[in-house]
Amino acid sequence: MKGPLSDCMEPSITSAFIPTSLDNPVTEIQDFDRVVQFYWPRLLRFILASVRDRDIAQTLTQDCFLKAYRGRKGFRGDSTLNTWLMRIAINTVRKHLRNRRMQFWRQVQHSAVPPAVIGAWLPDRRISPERSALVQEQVHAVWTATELLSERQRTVFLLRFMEDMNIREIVAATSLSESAVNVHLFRAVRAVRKRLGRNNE
Amino acid sequence: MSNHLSQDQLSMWILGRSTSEELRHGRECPECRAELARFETPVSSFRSVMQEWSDQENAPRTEELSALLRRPQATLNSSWRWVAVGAVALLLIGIPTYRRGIDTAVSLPPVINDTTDAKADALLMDAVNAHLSRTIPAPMEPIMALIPAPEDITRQGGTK
Repeated sequence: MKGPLSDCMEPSITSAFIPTSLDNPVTEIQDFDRVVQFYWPRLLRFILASVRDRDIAQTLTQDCFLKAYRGRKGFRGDSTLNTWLMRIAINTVRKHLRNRRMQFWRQVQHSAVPPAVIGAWLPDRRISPERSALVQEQVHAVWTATELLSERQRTVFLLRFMEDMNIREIVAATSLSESAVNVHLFRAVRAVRKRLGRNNE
Repeated sequence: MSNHLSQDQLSMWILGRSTSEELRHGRECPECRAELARFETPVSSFRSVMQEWSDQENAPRTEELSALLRRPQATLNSSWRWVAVGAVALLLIGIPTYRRGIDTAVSLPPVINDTTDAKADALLMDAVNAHLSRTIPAPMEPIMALIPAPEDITRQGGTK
């Protein structure tokens, strides 16, 4: 259920691996080491983009796999392994953010990722300095724009545009209704567009 | 009035929820196409950069992972935490109530004992009075029983 954007945006490098990986998720989860190797980057980047702290993202990703390992017997294969793990990640992030809100005195994030650093993680080091600067600026703009979204809007936005998940998968991962996902996505896109438009002016 | 896509229509286009007419317009109109690219290009760069970065971040190795998975759960899970909180709350409420109960129990017995003691005292006093009001010593009472009382003598017509 991909929109026109998927046609014009670059194809996701991960989407090519998903079909071979998710042929039989129930048997796949038995090889937990392989599951971790395959899904670690995906959960890590989602969590990092959600909590914006590198050390916390590493810890929470580890927690997610611990939870998944302990709860692997409960995984019946009703959803894909990707969706199931993403649901664990979403709940872990939500719990962390709720706890952080309670710790109102804790203001300093020790390893918070500054937006400028994100831009330095460029996909292709051989690009020209001009192009590099442009990409850094673009990445910085999206990173900042997503920071301003509400937790739910950011979650659905990241799942859709960073993880390339379709609406049905997002519904399964977030436990929201389809209409709620559509509303959050619409608001998120509108807010990010507004922010990006402001940056371009 | 502009024939271009509105801001909301552009957002709907990005989400793939446009009508076929809007879809065609978004593909053909250079201005709307440029407007859409303002979103698509940075988001695409963001996704590529994040994927590139996360692919370089190594997942724990097998031995690290095994040690990690064998590690006992350090913290209580949320349900047990709630049970613990409930137990503490019960103790906090229960202990003062229990102590108040004991205090009441301690203060009540003297009232009951007072009544009991008063009755016992009254009985004892009766016994003491009865003992003191005897006209003859107690060992002589069986002998006195053989002697008719003055009333009995009068009823029988007296003695000479």
